[in-house]
Amino acid sequence: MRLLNTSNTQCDGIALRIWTGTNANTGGPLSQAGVVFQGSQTSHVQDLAVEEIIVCTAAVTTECSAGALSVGYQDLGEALNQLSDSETDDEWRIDDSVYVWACAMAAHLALGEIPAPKISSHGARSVVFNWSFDEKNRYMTVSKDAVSILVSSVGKIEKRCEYRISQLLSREMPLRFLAQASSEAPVSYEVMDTGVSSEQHRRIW
Amino acid sequence: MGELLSDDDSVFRMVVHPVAFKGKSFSRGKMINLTTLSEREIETSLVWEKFLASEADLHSSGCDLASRMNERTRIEKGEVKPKNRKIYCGAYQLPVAALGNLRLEAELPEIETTEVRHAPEDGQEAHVSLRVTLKHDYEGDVEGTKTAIADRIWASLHGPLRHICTCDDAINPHPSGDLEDCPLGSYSFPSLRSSS
Repeated sequence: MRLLNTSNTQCDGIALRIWTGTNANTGGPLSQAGVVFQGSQTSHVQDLAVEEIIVCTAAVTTECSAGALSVGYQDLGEALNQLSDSETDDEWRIDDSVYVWACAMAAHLALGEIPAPKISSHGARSVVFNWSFDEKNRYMTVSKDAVSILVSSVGKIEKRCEYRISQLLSREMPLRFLAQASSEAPVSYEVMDTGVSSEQHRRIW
Repeated sequence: MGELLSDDDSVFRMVVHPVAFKGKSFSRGKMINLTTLSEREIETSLVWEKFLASEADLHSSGCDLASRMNERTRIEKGEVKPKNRKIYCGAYQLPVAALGNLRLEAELPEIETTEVRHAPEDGQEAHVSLRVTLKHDYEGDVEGTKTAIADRIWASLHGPLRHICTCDDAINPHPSGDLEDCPLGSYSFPSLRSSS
Protein backbone atom coordinates (compact mmCIF):
# COMPACT_ATOMS: atom_id res chain seq x y z
CA MET A 1 0.00 0.00 0.00
CA ARG A 2 1.32 3.41 -0.94
CA LEU A 3 0.01 6.53 0.78
CA LEU A 4 -0.02 9.57 -1.41
CA ASN A 5 -2.06 11.96 0.60
CA THR A 6 -3.49 11.81 4.07
CA SER A 7 -5.16 14.21 6.41
CA ASN A 8 -6.91 13.19 9.53
CA THR A 9 -8.73 15.82 11.46
CA GLN A 10 -11.73 15.67 13.73
CA CYS A 11 -14.41 17.99 14.88
CA ASP A 12 -16.68 17.69 17.90
CA GLY A 13 -16.30 13.98 18.12
CA ILE A 14 -16.82 13.05 14.51
CA ALA A 15 -14.42 12.14 11.77
CA LEU A 16 -15.49 11.19 8.33
CA ARG A 17 -12.72 9.34 6.62
CA ILE A 18 -12.57 8.36 3.03
CA TRP A 19 -9.93 6.21 1.49
CA THR A 20 -10.02 6.26 -2.25
CA GLY A 21 -7.47 4.67 -4.42
CA THR A 22 -6.43 3.57 -7.81
CA ASN A 23 -5.22 0.25 -8.99
CA ALA A 24 -1.51 0.68 -9.56
CA ASN A 25 -1.61 -1.69 -12.49
CA THR A 26 -4.75 -0.62 -14.30
CA GLY A 27 -5.22 2.92 -13.06
CA GLY A 28 -8.85 2.09 -12.27
CA PRO A 29 -10.49 3.33 -9.08
CA LEU A 30 -10.43 1.22 -5.95
CA SER A 31 -11.88 2.33 -2.69
CA GLN A 32 -12.36 1.84 0.97
CA ALA A 33 -14.46 4.15 3.05
CA GLY A 34 -15.03 4.59 6.71
CA VAL A 35 -17.12 6.77 8.94
CA VAL A 36 -15.73 6.94 12.43
CA PHE A 37 -17.53 8.48 15.37
CA GLN A 38 -15.24 9.35 18.20
CA GLY A 39 -16.69 8.54 21.59
CA SER A 40 -19.31 6.11 20.35
CA GLN A 41 -16.50 4.11 18.76
CA THR A 42 -18.88 3.34 15.95
CA SER A 43 -17.00 2.55 12.84
CA HIS A 44 -17.88 1.00 9.58
CA VAL A 45 -15.56 0.12 6.79
CA GLN A 46 -16.47 -1.08 3.36
CA ASP A 47 -13.83 -2.95 1.41
CA LEU A 48 -14.24 -2.60 -2.29
CA ALA A 49 -10.78 -3.77 -3.19
CA VAL A 50 -7.99 -5.74 -1.66
CA GLU A 51 -5.39 -4.66 -4.15
CA GLU A 52 -2.92 -1.87 -3.76
CA ILE A 53 -4.64 1.25 -2.53
CA ILE A 54 -3.57 4.82 -2.62
CA VAL A 55 -5.09 6.47 0.37
CA CYS A 56 -6.71 9.84 0.37
CA THR A 57 -8.45 10.93 3.53
CA ALA A 58 -11.00 13.65 3.69
CA ALA A 59 -12.16 14.53 7.16
CA VAL A 60 -14.11 17.10 9.05
CA THR A 61 -11.79 20.00 9.75
CA THR A 62 -10.97 21.46 13.10
CA GLU A 63 -12.47 24.73 11.90
CA CYS A 64 -16.00 23.39 11.80
CA SER A 65 -16.80 24.33 15.34
CA ALA A 66 -20.55 24.85 14.98
CA GLY A 67 -22.32 22.22 17.04
CA ALA A 68 -25.24 21.97 14.67
CA LEU A 69 -22.92 21.22 11.81
CA SER A 70 -21.18 18.36 13.54
CA VAL A 71 -24.41 16.88 14.89
CA GLY A 72 -25.94 17.07 11.42
CA TYR A 73 -23.03 15.29 9.82
CA GLN A 74 -22.95 12.67 12.54
CA ASP A 75 -26.57 11.87 11.68
CA LEU A 76 -25.69 11.83 8.01
CA GLY A 77 -22.78 9.48 8.57
CA GLU A 78 -24.97 7.13 10.56
CA ALA A 79 -27.63 7.26 7.86
CA LEU A 80 -25.07 6.38 5.19
CA ASN A 81 -23.80 3.50 7.29
CA GLN A 82 -27.34 2.19 7.64
CA LEU A 83 -27.90 2.40 3.89
CA SER A 84 -24.91 0.18 3.26
CA ASP A 85 -25.80 -2.29 6.01
CA SER A 86 -26.86 -5.69 4.74
CA GLU A 87 -29.62 -5.72 7.37
CA THR A 88 -31.21 -2.65 5.82
CA ASP A 89 -34.56 -3.06 4.11
CA ASP A 90 -34.05 -3.75 0.39
CA GLU A 91 -35.92 -0.56 -0.45
CA TRP A 92 -33.14 1.56 1.01
CA ARG A 93 -29.94 -0.45 0.63
CA ILE A 94 -27.30 1.13 -1.62
CA ASP A 95 -24.44 -0.40 -3.59
CA ASP A 96 -21.02 -0.36 -1.94
CA SER A 97 -19.54 1.83 -4.67
CA VAL A 98 -22.31 4.39 -4.16
CA TYR A 99 -21.67 4.32 -0.40
CA VAL A 100 -17.99 5.12 -0.92
CA TRP A 101 -18.61 8.16 -3.07
CA ALA A 102 -21.52 9.35 -0.94
CA CYS A 103 -19.19 9.32 2.08
CA ALA A 104 -16.56 11.19 0.07
CA MET A 105 -19.08 13.87 -0.85
CA ALA A 106 -20.37 14.08 2.71
CA ALA A 107 -16.84 14.63 3.96
CA HIS A 108 -16.18 17.38 1.46
CA LEU A 109 -19.50 19.04 2.22
CA ALA A 110 -18.50 19.08 5.87
CA LEU A 111 -15.10 20.46 4.92
CA GLY A 112 -16.84 23.23 3.03
CA GLU A 113 -18.98 23.97 6.11
CA ILE A 114 -22.13 23.39 4.10
CA PRO A 115 -25.07 22.60 6.41
CA ALA A 116 -25.80 18.89 6.60
CA PRO A 117 -28.29 17.82 3.93
CA LYS A 118 -31.31 15.56 4.09
CA ILE A 119 -30.73 12.21 2.49
CA SER A 120 -32.71 10.25 -0.06
CA SER A 121 -32.11 7.78 -2.86
CA HIS A 122 -33.57 6.33 -6.02
CA GLY A 123 -32.69 2.79 -5.02
CA ALA A 124 -29.37 1.00 -4.83
CA ARG A 125 -27.65 3.04 -7.52
CA SER A 126 -27.57 6.49 -5.94
CA VAL A 127 -27.78 8.69 -2.88
CA VAL A 128 -29.38 12.12 -3.07
CA PHE A 129 -28.40 14.94 -0.72
CA ASN A 130 -31.01 17.69 -0.50
CA TRP A 131 -31.12 21.19 0.95
CA SER A 132 -34.30 23.26 0.93
CA PHE A 133 -34.13 26.90 1.94
CA ASP A 134 -34.86 30.34 0.46
CA GLU A 135 -37.68 28.70 -1.54
CA LYS A 136 -35.11 26.73 -3.51
CA ASN A 137 -34.20 23.08 -3.57
CA ARG A 138 -30.62 22.01 -4.06
CA TYR A 139 -29.71 18.42 -4.84
CA MET A 140 -26.50 16.50 -5.14
CA THR A 141 -27.06 13.06 -6.65
CA VAL A 142 -24.15 10.69 -6.12
CA SER A 143 -23.86 7.50 -8.17
CA LYS A 144 -20.87 5.26 -8.78
CA ASP A 145 -20.03 7.19 -11.94
CA ALA A 146 -21.10 10.79 -11.43
CA VAL A 147 -22.15 13.61 -9.15
CA SER A 148 -25.14 15.54 -10.51
CA ILE A 149 -26.07 18.98 -9.24
CA LEU A 150 -29.55 20.49 -9.47
CA VAL A 151 -30.93 23.80 -8.19
CA SER A 152 -34.66 24.40 -8.57
CA SER A 153 -37.55 26.56 -7.46
CA VAL A 154 -41.24 25.62 -7.57
CA GLY A 155 -41.57 27.13 -11.03
CA LYS A 156 -38.53 25.73 -12.78
CA ILE A 157 -35.19 23.98 -12.76
CA GLU A 158 -32.64 26.75 -12.44
CA LYS A 159 -29.33 24.94 -12.84
CA ARG A 160 -28.09 21.47 -13.65
CA CYS A 161 -24.59 20.15 -14.14
CA GLU A 162 -22.79 16.88 -13.84
CA TYR A 163 -19.28 15.84 -12.88
CA ARG A 164 -17.83 12.45 -13.68
CA ILE A 165 -16.26 10.81 -10.66
CA SER A 166 -13.02 10.55 -12.60
CA GLN A 167 -12.91 14.35 -12.73
CA LEU A 168 -13.26 14.64 -8.99
CA LEU A 169 -10.75 12.10 -7.82
CA SER A 170 -7.93 14.55 -7.37
CA ARG A 171 -9.66 17.90 -7.53
CA GLU A 172 -11.74 20.27 -5.48
CA MET A 173 -15.34 19.26 -5.04
CA PRO A 174 -18.23 21.25 -6.54
CA LEU A 175 -19.34 22.85 -3.32
CA ARG A 176 -19.34 26.52 -4.10
CA PHE A 177 -22.67 26.37 -5.91
CA LEU A 178 -24.36 25.52 -2.65
CA ALA A 179 -22.99 28.56 -0.91
CA GLN A 180 -23.65 30.86 -3.84
CA ALA A 181 -26.90 29.54 -5.20
CA SER A 182 -28.95 31.44 -2.67
CA SER A 183 -27.38 34.75 -3.64
CA GLU A 184 -28.36 36.88 -6.60
CA ALA A 185 -24.85 36.88 -7.98
CA PRO A 186 -24.30 34.59 -10.95
CA VAL A 187 -22.62 31.42 -9.88
CA SER A 188 -19.40 30.69 -11.63
CA TYR A 189 -17.02 28.00 -10.66
CA GLU A 190 -14.22 26.41 -12.54
CA VAL A 191 -12.91 22.94 -12.16
CA MET A 192 -9.86 21.41 -13.71
CA ASP A 193 -10.74 18.87 -16.34
CA THR A 194 -8.33 16.19 -15.28
CA GLY A 195 -9.21 14.07 -18.26
CA VAL A 196 -7.57 16.49 -20.69
CA SER A 197 -4.80 18.61 -19.29
CA SER A 198 -3.91 20.14 -15.98
CA GLU A 199 -3.87 23.53 -17.63
CA GLN A 200 -7.24 23.26 -19.25
CA HIS A 201 -10.23 24.56 -17.37
CA ARG A 202 -13.81 23.64 -17.99
CA ARG A 203 -16.50 26.15 -17.14
CA ILE A 204 -19.31 24.58 -15.23
CA TRP A 205 -21.95 27.26 -15.16
CA MET B 1 -51.63 -2.13 -23.90
CA GLY B 2 -53.76 -0.08 -21.59
CA GLU B 3 -55.38 3.24 -22.34
CA LEU B 4 -53.21 6.36 -22.40
CA LEU B 5 -54.31 9.02 -19.92
CA SER B 6 -54.98 12.54 -21.16
CA ASP B 7 -53.72 15.85 -19.81
CA ASP B 8 -57.12 16.41 -18.20
CA ASP B 9 -56.78 13.33 -16.01
CA SER B 10 -55.71 13.28 -12.39
CA VAL B 11 -53.58 10.68 -10.63
CA PHE B 12 -52.34 9.98 -7.10
CA ARG B 13 -49.07 8.75 -5.68
CA MET B 14 -49.62 6.67 -2.56
CA VAL B 15 -47.21 6.91 0.36
CA VAL B 16 -46.13 3.86 2.32
CA HIS B 17 -43.91 3.81 5.40
CA PRO B 18 -40.99 2.94 5.66
CA VAL B 19 -40.45 3.05 1.89
CA ALA B 20 -40.84 6.82 1.72
CA PHE B 21 -39.05 7.61 4.97
CA LYS B 22 -35.53 7.53 6.36
CA GLY B 23 -36.18 7.10 10.06
CA LYS B 24 -38.72 9.77 10.93
CA SER B 25 -37.65 11.90 8.00
CA PHE B 26 -39.95 11.97 4.97
CA SER B 27 -38.12 11.52 1.67
CA ARG B 28 -39.65 13.10 -1.44
CA GLY B 29 -37.44 11.09 -3.78
CA LYS B 30 -38.27 7.77 -2.18
CA MET B 31 -41.95 8.66 -2.09
CA ILE B 32 -41.95 9.18 -5.86
CA ASN B 33 -39.72 6.10 -6.21
CA LEU B 34 -38.53 6.29 -9.80
CA THR B 35 -37.09 2.96 -10.88
CA THR B 36 -34.88 2.16 -13.85
CA LEU B 37 -36.45 -0.29 -16.30
CA SER B 38 -33.54 -0.16 -18.72
CA GLU B 39 -30.68 2.21 -19.50
CA ARG B 40 -33.14 4.68 -21.00
CA GLU B 41 -36.45 3.95 -19.29
CA ILE B 42 -37.64 5.23 -15.94
CA GLU B 43 -40.92 4.24 -14.33
CA THR B 44 -43.13 4.77 -11.31
CA SER B 45 -46.61 3.67 -10.24
CA LEU B 46 -49.62 5.93 -9.81
CA VAL B 47 -53.34 5.56 -9.23
CA TRP B 48 -55.98 6.95 -11.62
CA GLU B 49 -58.56 9.16 -9.93
CA LYS B 50 -61.16 8.17 -12.52
CA PHE B 51 -61.49 4.78 -10.83
CA LEU B 52 -61.99 6.20 -7.35
CA ALA B 53 -65.47 7.22 -6.25
CA SER B 54 -64.30 9.12 -3.20
CA GLU B 55 -61.36 9.90 -0.96
CA ALA B 56 -62.43 6.90 1.14
CA ASP B 57 -62.00 4.75 -1.97
CA LEU B 58 -58.50 6.11 -2.48
CA HIS B 59 -57.48 5.31 1.08
CA SER B 60 -59.11 1.90 1.01
CA SER B 61 -56.97 1.13 -2.01
CA GLY B 62 -53.88 2.39 -0.13
CA CYS B 63 -54.59 0.23 2.91
CA ASP B 64 -54.99 -2.78 0.61
CA LEU B 65 -51.68 -1.94 -1.07
CA ALA B 66 -49.77 -1.93 2.24
CA SER B 67 -51.50 -5.13 3.27
CA ARG B 68 -50.46 -6.86 0.03
CA MET B 69 -46.87 -5.67 0.46
CA ASN B 70 -46.74 -7.13 3.97
CA GLU B 71 -48.25 -10.38 2.78
CA ARG B 72 -45.66 -10.62 0.00
CA THR B 73 -42.83 -10.13 2.52
CA ARG B 74 -44.37 -12.73 4.82
CA ILE B 75 -44.42 -15.25 1.98
CA GLU B 76 -40.90 -14.43 0.76
CA LYS B 77 -39.12 -14.07 4.10
CA GLY B 78 -41.34 -15.98 6.51
CA GLU B 79 -42.05 -12.93 8.67
CA VAL B 80 -42.44 -9.16 8.63
CA LYS B 81 -40.05 -7.46 11.03
CA PRO B 82 -41.78 -4.61 12.91
CA LYS B 83 -39.39 -2.00 11.48
CA ASN B 84 -40.13 -3.19 7.94
CA ARG B 85 -43.92 -3.42 8.29
CA LYS B 86 -45.57 -1.38 5.55
CA ILE B 87 -47.94 1.34 6.77
CA TYR B 88 -50.09 3.34 4.36
CA CYS B 89 -49.89 7.05 5.20
CA GLY B 90 -51.95 8.81 2.51
CA ALA B 91 -51.50 10.12 -1.01
CA TYR B 92 -50.53 13.12 -3.12
CA GLN B 93 -52.49 14.29 -6.17
CA LEU B 94 -50.89 15.10 -9.51
CA PRO B 95 -52.41 16.40 -12.77
CA VAL B 96 -51.31 14.27 -15.73
CA ALA B 97 -50.61 17.45 -17.69
CA ALA B 98 -47.64 18.10 -15.39
CA LEU B 99 -46.12 14.78 -16.43
CA GLY B 100 -46.55 15.59 -20.12
CA ASN B 101 -44.81 18.89 -19.51
CA LEU B 102 -41.66 17.10 -18.34
CA ARG B 103 -40.75 16.63 -22.00
CA LEU B 104 -41.02 20.39 -22.55
CA GLU B 105 -38.79 21.29 -19.60
CA ALA B 106 -35.77 23.17 -20.97
CA GLU B 107 -33.48 21.74 -18.31
CA LEU B 108 -34.52 18.16 -19.06
CA PRO B 109 -33.48 17.93 -22.73
CA GLU B 110 -32.66 14.23 -22.38
CA ILE B 111 -36.35 13.25 -22.18
CA GLU B 112 -37.67 11.75 -25.40
CA THR B 113 -41.20 10.82 -24.29
CA THR B 114 -43.40 10.58 -21.22
CA GLU B 115 -46.33 8.22 -21.15
CA VAL B 116 -48.99 7.66 -18.50
CA ARG B 117 -50.82 4.45 -19.25
CA HIS B 118 -53.57 2.44 -17.53
CA ALA B 119 -51.94 -0.76 -16.27
CA PRO B 120 -54.07 -2.70 -13.76
CA GLU B 121 -51.97 -4.97 -11.57
CA ASP B 122 -52.32 -7.04 -8.39
CA GLY B 123 -56.06 -6.64 -8.57
CA GLN B 124 -55.73 -2.86 -8.45
CA GLU B 125 -57.90 -1.64 -11.32
CA ALA B 126 -56.90 2.03 -10.84
CA HIS B 127 -53.15 1.39 -11.25
CA VAL B 128 -51.35 3.40 -13.95
CA SER B 129 -47.72 3.51 -14.98
CA LEU B 130 -45.65 6.62 -15.69
CA ARG B 131 -42.86 5.74 -18.10
CA VAL B 132 -40.18 8.25 -19.12
CA THR B 133 -37.96 7.35 -22.08
CA LEU B 134 -34.62 9.11 -22.54
CA LYS B 135 -33.07 10.01 -25.87
CA HIS B 136 -30.92 7.27 -27.35
CA ASP B 137 -27.83 9.47 -27.50
CA TYR B 138 -28.06 10.69 -23.90
CA GLU B 139 -24.76 10.02 -22.16
CA GLY B 140 -25.41 11.67 -18.80
CA ASP B 141 -26.07 9.91 -15.53
CA VAL B 142 -29.61 8.51 -15.33
CA GLU B 143 -29.61 8.91 -11.54
CA GLY B 144 -29.25 12.68 -11.95
CA THR B 145 -32.14 12.66 -14.41
CA LYS B 146 -34.27 10.83 -11.86
CA THR B 147 -33.58 13.55 -9.31
CA ALA B 148 -34.61 16.24 -11.79
CA ILE B 149 -37.82 14.37 -12.69
CA ALA B 150 -38.66 13.76 -9.04
CA ASP B 151 -38.09 17.46 -8.33
CA ARG B 152 -40.50 18.50 -11.09
CA ILE B 153 -43.10 15.96 -9.96
CA TRP B 154 -42.82 17.21 -6.37
CA ALA B 155 -43.32 20.80 -7.59
CA SER B 156 -46.59 19.74 -9.29
CA LEU B 157 -48.15 17.77 -6.44
CA HIS B 158 -51.07 18.73 -4.20
CA GLY B 159 -51.59 17.35 -0.75
CA PRO B 160 -51.04 15.32 1.23
CA LEU B 161 -54.33 13.56 1.89
CA ARG B 162 -53.31 11.86 5.15
CA HIS B 163 -54.89 8.64 6.36
CA ILE B 164 -54.61 6.03 9.12
CA CYS B 165 -55.85 2.55 8.20
CA THR B 166 -58.00 0.75 10.76
CA CYS B 167 -55.32 -1.92 11.19
CA ASP B 168 -52.82 0.82 12.15
CA ASP B 169 -55.01 2.60 14.72
CA ALA B 170 -52.69 1.62 17.56
CA ILE B 171 -49.56 3.12 16.00
CA ASN B 172 -48.68 6.26 17.91
CA PRO B 173 -47.22 8.47 16.59
CA HIS B 174 -48.43 7.45 13.13
CA PRO B 175 -45.96 8.29 10.33
CA SER B 176 -48.66 10.05 8.31
CA GLY B 177 -47.97 13.02 10.59
CA ASP B 178 -44.50 13.30 9.03
CA LEU B 179 -45.69 13.78 5.45
CA GLU B 180 -44.52 17.08 3.96
CA ASP B 181 -46.96 19.67 2.69
CA CYS B 182 -46.61 20.36 -1.03
CA PRO B 183 -45.67 23.79 -2.34
CA LEU B 184 -48.90 23.93 -4.39
CA GLY B 185 -51.08 23.31 -1.35
CA SER B 186 -53.82 20.88 -0.42
CA TYR B 187 -56.20 18.88 -2.60
CA SER B 188 -59.93 18.42 -2.22
CA PHE B 189 -61.41 15.28 -3.66
CA PRO B 190 -64.45 15.98 -5.88
CA SER B 191 -67.51 15.42 -3.71
CA LEU B 192 -69.50 13.46 -6.27
CA ARG B 193 -68.06 11.00 -8.72
CA SER B 194 -69.20 7.81 -10.35
CA SER B 195 -66.51 5.21 -10.71
CA SER B 196 -65.90 3.65 -14.09
